Amino acid sequence: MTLKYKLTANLVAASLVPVIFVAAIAYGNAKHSAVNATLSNLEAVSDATVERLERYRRQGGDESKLWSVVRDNAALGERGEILVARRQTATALGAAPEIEFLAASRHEGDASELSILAGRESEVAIERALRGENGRSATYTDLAGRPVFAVTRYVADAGVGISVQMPKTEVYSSLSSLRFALIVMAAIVLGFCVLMAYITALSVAVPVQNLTLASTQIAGGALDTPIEQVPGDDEISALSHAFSTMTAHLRELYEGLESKVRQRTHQLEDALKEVTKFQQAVQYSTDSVFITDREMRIIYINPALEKLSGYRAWELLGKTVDVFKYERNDPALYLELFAVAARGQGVESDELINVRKDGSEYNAEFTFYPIKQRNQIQFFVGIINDITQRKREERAKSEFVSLASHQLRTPLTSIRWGMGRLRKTFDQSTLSPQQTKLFDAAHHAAKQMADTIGTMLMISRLSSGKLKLMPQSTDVAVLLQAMNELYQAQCVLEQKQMLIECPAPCAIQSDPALLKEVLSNIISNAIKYSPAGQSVRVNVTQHGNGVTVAVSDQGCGIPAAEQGKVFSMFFRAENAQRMPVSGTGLGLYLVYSLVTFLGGSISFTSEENRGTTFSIFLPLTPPQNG
Amino acid sequence: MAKTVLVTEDDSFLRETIQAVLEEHGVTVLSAENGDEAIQIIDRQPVDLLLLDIFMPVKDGYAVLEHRRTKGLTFPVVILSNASDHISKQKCEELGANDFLVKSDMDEDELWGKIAAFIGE
Repeated sequence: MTLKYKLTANLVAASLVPVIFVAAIAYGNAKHSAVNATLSNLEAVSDATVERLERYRRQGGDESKLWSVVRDNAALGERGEILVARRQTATALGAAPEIEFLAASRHEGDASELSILAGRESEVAIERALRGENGRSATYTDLAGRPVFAVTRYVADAGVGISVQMPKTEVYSSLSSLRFALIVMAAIVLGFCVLMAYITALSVAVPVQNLTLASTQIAGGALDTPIEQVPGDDEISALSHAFSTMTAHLRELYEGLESKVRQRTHQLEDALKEVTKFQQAVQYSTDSVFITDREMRIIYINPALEKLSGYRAWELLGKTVDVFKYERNDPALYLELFAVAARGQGVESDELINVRKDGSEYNAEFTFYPIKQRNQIQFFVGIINDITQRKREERAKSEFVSLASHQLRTPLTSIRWGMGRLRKTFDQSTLSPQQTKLFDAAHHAAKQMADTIGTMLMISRLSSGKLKLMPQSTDVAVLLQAMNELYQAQCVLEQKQMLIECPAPCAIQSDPALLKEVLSNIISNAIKYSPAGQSVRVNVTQHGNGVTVAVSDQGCGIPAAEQGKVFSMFFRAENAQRMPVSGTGLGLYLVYSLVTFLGGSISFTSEENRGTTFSIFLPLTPPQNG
Repeated sequence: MAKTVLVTEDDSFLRETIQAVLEEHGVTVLSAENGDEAIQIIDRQPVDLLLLDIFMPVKDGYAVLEHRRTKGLTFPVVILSNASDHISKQKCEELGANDFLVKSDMDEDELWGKIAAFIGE
């Protein structure tokens, strides 16, 4: 039920009670007064009548004309009357004495015709008067048994009873109009109350209803719903004001939020566009790419990788990188690769053999690196490329180089030995300088060729990965001593000196043959490019983690502009090329490759026409995978 | 007593040169141009040193080494080969070779210095 009706009903009920109460009391009062007035009136009449009777008797009036005392009927309304009666003496034995009326009843007929049954006690007023009851009564009846208001008197010495009575109905009927008036008034008042109640209820209920409706709509999301402002300064208007304010705030907040959301959505859309670019770059790349989470579980495979591996993405998602492992590779290599990556560094290998879903193998170039955010690894990226073709070509090249080199060596040996033997057939004293020069040139060239072939073979073996580093105890001092002996003759011949300073023993874990190759190349260069009369110095320094071998010469140096290319293949600096010394440009390239292979590093300082110092650092123990 | 050295080399010029150099040092030289001939010689007579090429027709150096081992022969063996990349030094050592030399890397007169120790010179 709505508030309107509840309030109205309550207010009406609240006003109904007092109204009815008041009306009832008023009526009760009125009735009471009317009865009292009636009785008083009756009393007055009865007093007057009694007085007249006594006066009449005193005056010795005729008793048959007693009825003349009854005079005030007019004061008794319409149906009120005065009854005067005397008890007759008993006529028969046991029969109740009858009542004799002395005056005619106003309404009931002649006195002589009136008779009532006396005897039993009744409530008839005149009978009670004859019993001697004096006073007011509201409980007696008239002769016909109708209830009356009566004042009864008994004049004892005359033996006359008087009842002045008025039927209650007449008394009450005068009240009926009052009653009617009261009812009408009560109805009017009630009507007025209902109206006021309704108006009051409305004044409360309607704003509340409106507020309720509006707030229900707002709660439902229609923030634009207007809130009617209730005029006034009571709580209802305060409430409507408050609601209005709240709604306005809500609207602002919502709009503010909406615009923020819009803004953020735009930002996100832009970011997504950017990201989509990169995502598509990876998606459509011809490189096979996969991404893993920080536990190296695969979360993304690009189509190229699906194609390469023969697996569909769903077959690999969720699995760790171990799924790419293949037993044909050294497990230690995998351990190393993934351990390094887990430490935060990218790794690369082109030595792996991978297998596809269908079992076919291919040579793989594998790159694996971590992606960090806030210095913590979040993802790993893996790139796999099929380099089978490249490897095949490299192998073929390497095979060719190897085969060719070996084939070249045999005729080369013949040239070298032939020239040697030819020279000896001549009596050394008869050789002209020209002839000596020719022999020397040819012989030297053959030697050079042999050196070059050896270098080429080693480079080929290094780059094809055939070389495996098996570290063993290597004494640098001993190697350098061997160098000394090896180049002794040349030094003497060219008037150069080799000075070696090396702590003995000077042991590291390395490959003696390869280290010998390194030192031999560097020292040979130093001697070659040193001018006559100068010396080549070799200094060895020991550190906690390895040794440094420094080879210094006072030769032509390397021009600054060309120092960047020193270790590249076939490089010979201009000034070196101009010298009467020969070189292939392969030596330093080989040295660089070998030093790296041995786990060390090489650097140099050089100044044109002043000299060069090469520094080679070799670790105490080379790293695992060389 | 002059030492006997068996030179097994399929290239005739190289074989003859080695022989000449050795003979200049007073060594008796026997020569074979393939593994089969070498086997026949070492079966026939004692030698003080075997200079052995690996890649030869008929029978290669490996066969000679195996034969020598089977026969329980004890003379020193020096491999003289230019095909260093195609030969396993480890295998040669296991089969009883004492040293491995690349021919093109030395002058002919350097050869003596490298093998003299094996015949006690």
